[in-house]
Amino acid sequence: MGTAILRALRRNHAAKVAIGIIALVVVVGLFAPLLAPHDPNLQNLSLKLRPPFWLDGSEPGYPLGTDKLGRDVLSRVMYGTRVSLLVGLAATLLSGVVGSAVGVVSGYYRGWREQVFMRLADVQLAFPSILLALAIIAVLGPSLFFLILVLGLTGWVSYARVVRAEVLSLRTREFVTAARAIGDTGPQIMRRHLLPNIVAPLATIGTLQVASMIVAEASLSYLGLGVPPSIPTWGSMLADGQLYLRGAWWIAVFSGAAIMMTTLAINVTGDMLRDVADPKAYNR
Amino acid sequence: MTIARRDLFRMGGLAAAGLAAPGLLAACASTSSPASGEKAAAALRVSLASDATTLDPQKQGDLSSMNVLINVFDTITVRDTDDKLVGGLAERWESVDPRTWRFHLRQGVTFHNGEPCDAAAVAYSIERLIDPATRSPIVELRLVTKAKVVDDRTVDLITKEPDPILPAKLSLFGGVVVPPKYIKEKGEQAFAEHPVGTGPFTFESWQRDSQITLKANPGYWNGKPAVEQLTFRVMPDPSSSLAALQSGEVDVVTGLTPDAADQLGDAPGFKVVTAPGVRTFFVSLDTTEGPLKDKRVRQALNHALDVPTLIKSVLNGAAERTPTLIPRQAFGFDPAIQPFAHDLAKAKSLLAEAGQSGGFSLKMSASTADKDIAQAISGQLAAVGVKAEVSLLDPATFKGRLVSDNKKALGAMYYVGNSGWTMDASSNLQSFVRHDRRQSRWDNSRADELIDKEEQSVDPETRRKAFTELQNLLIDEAPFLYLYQVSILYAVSDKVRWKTNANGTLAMASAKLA
Amino acid sequence: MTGFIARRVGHTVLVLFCVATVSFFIVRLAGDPVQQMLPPEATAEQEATLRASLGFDRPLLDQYVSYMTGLLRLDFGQSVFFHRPAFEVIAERLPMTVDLAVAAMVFTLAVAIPAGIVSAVRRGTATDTSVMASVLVGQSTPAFWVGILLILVFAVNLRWLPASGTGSPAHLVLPAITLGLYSAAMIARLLRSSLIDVLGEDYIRTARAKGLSGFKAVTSHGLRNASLPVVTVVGLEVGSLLGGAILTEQVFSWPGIGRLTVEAITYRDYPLMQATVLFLAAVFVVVNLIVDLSYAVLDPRVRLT
Repeated sequence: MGTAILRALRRNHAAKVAIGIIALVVVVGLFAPLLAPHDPNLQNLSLKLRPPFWLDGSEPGYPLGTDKLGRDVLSRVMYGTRVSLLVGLAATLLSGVVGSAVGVVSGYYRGWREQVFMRLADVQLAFPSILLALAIIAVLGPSLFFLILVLGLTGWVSYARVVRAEVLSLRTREFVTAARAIGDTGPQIMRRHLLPNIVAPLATIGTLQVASMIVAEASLSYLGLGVPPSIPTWGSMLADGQLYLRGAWWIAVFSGAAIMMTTLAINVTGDMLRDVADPKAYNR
Repeated sequence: MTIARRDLFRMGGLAAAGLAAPGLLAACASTSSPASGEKAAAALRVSLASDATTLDPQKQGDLSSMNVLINVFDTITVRDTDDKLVGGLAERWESVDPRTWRFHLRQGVTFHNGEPCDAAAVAYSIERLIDPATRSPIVELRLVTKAKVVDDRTVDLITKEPDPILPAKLSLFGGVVVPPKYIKEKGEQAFAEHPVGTGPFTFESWQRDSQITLKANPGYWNGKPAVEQLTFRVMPDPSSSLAALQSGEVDVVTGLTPDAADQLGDAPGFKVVTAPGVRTFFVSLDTTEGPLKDKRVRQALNHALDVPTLIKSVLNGAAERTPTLIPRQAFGFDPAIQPFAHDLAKAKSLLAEAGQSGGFSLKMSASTADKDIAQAISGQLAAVGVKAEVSLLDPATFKGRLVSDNKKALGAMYYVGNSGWTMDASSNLQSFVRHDRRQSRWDNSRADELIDKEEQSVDPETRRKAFTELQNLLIDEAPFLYLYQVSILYAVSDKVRWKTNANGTLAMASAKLA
Repeated sequence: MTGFIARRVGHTVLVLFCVATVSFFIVRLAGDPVQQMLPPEATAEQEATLRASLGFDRPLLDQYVSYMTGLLRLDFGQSVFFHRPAFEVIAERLPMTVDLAVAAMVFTLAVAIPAGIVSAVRRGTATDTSVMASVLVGQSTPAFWVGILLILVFAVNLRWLPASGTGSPAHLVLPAITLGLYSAAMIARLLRSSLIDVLGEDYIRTARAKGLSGFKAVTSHGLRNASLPVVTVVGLEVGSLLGGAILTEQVFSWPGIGRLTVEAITYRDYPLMQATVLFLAAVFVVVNLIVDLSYAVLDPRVRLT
């Protein structure tokens, strides 16, 4: 798959740019404390609501302006990268693990397990996840960990469905029947033979899901159900910024732009991965 | 009445209640109405941050419903525009004995349907309010056990313990009078959709989530209002209600945040008015454990705060400093009490005396609606080495924890507001001071005694003295970080003459159009 | 066929039963309406009295049983804050949500169909590339940010359209675009790929060989054959537009079901929360059911499992 990706990359200029952006976001996230010009939570009430550098009234050292409490917007956007990446990756991983396990088990055993899991998936899809998030956060308090938990627990269905479909087609293949003939147990077969064969589709969904998890985190933070405020996030900056849209548009615009750039880059990369994994779908 | 409810509305500018299915077609038809024409009759249009939840005055507790209903109903007593307690449906009142207040009613008042508003109607209203089956969220009359008709124009309210400020409480929705015959004949549901009161305006129509229209009551006992038609337009988003003011679609916008008022600025055609309010804000400290157990630490934190700067930069000046928990207008406020001075050196030396020169960390909770101010307070405390990590909760969760039995549910510190709408210091101290009260985290036997004294005595002088001593004690013991009382901000078009009272409700009977 | 229908309807009922049960217990984890209803100065005694008069002091199982038996009679309980049946409150908000969903769908189709056709016919050209790039941007941008940008440009700066609220068709424009953008991007992309599949088939090639222009071939032959998957997705999108407008309605203060859900959550109004959740779930599963059934009817090749 690696060489196929490289070959695809040579043709696909958009994906090259996208991967560049992702790399930039990761670097900013990892090294935010070194790169950010200010402490993202440091207030300076005498410098509140200053515009970005090209406008009148801007303050040197605050290139993207300041917010209501005089905090540096650039530094907050940079630190926001960390939450978005952490939540995006961790929640994707969690839902991927849960979803693949459910998918493999339903697809391999079929029968009542499949029935139960697939109905559970229907319920999960029909249930508004905002309520689940609210209940968990109301009971346990706002925290990064619970946010990841909520998003992870609501995102497993797409994995489960794809993995189940893949397993359904794999389970009758020779190498699986052969393994069963030599006495491998169900869990062994699933681990040794089924899972390795579904890594490619999993990686594709996973990539795309990182983007939707980042958006989901931003949405929950926008509704005020996200992480504690001492951690700057793109979603909560966006919510704050909406209140000052008339006078100080830069708060909402820069944080929103960060979300869009990141998700766009991830989606372009995900599309490229899918094309590689499934050349038939090249045009989709 | 309810305080946190206001915060709820601020959270997302949430609208309430349903709507009368305007649909696309109806919406098309209504486009011509705003701004243009229709100025002929003296019509006044007011923006409302959310729709009313219900028009039954005894079943609502949110600001929007109150703003509408205060114009349809009268209360037994009233606050005038100078915040003085004056007669409403009762002309005068007296304390017969410590547990009985007697109210003498105004003669000849009738409900909008012609039903007489007599002692029986008042007694019915009080009994309906305190009946658990009504499910009323109004809690002021908790000590009232019975309303007794003495004669046609006289009612006695019996309380289980002395309630010196009952007449003041009856100027709020606890003292609203509803028509007994109408409710019995038409039923509760019909009353909630088509209210009938004694007030300056009669109910005309309610298009849910869109507007509520009232008409002047020609037979109003206090004289027919100058405004012929009063329309409340539901506008959940503060910036659109301001835009509507600018384009002349509405005449009055209330409940502005300081930032909204700032963004509005000075423009021709209307002005922004700042009026003193009675809602105080402070930080509750858990005095029962940790470093906050030491009063020197609590004093130090008070000295560390620069309240005037908080008011100036976060609230854009729309607040007035309060030395303790009591707003300036309230009975019992002692102007001689001086607030804590901003003095970092003193704060540091007090902390050193208490063995806390290295500083410490603790949690400070606040509602998301107050996030800027909470973070600014935390930022100021950091200057003396106290790290207060702000934990923001959505307003509903915050409120749930505030009233929960676990007094530590909001952590060592929390930022909270309290409206003493009775304008008596008793209401400001009620839930927060006496050690057994729901939001108290301070155990001081002298304070408890003083609370008992002011709550149980009917004599104003005894009560005033108790309040003065309490305020001195609050400064010395510093069980809270004292901040300010926020101002009421509203914008009115130049053609309207109207002044709010300290409640900030939209009582429009006195409004005049130029 | 009847067996298939019966089984699918059975699944739907089962899913709704589970949603009702889960939501009943979850809303009770999230807080307490009595505490929200009363001002903070209420005493513990007053709180207990109100709780009892609302019936929330009864044993949980007891409340659950009466809730579920109520549902059988289509009784969704009484909203605590509005003092009216929860069903009525929802029914009043429904038209607003339907207006918004319809407007969003009109926008979606008006954008997606031309975009999908143009990029399929002009496949590989700069037009195609720019349409597909816009599609990706549309799919990657969070709806509420789009909404905020639209407000900034069209309401705050240009003052062409209202920033929020209701009352005229002009109020619908920005929320409908915000809500429809994602669907438009998705449907344009899907239409393009199904058209490309169809255009590769023999009869289209024949038609084109006979001299039909690209557009003619598409409109006279291609669209009809490419439409089945697109119609399916459009159906599903109608469902998600009806139920998925929470953020859009929040950004524009649009008084529909989405905002009602947020309000019910804000008030911790148990019966109203339960009713909105059940409503959203019902819209979702019923739309899915209809799409599945019509799929089975329209295309006999679909395996009936």
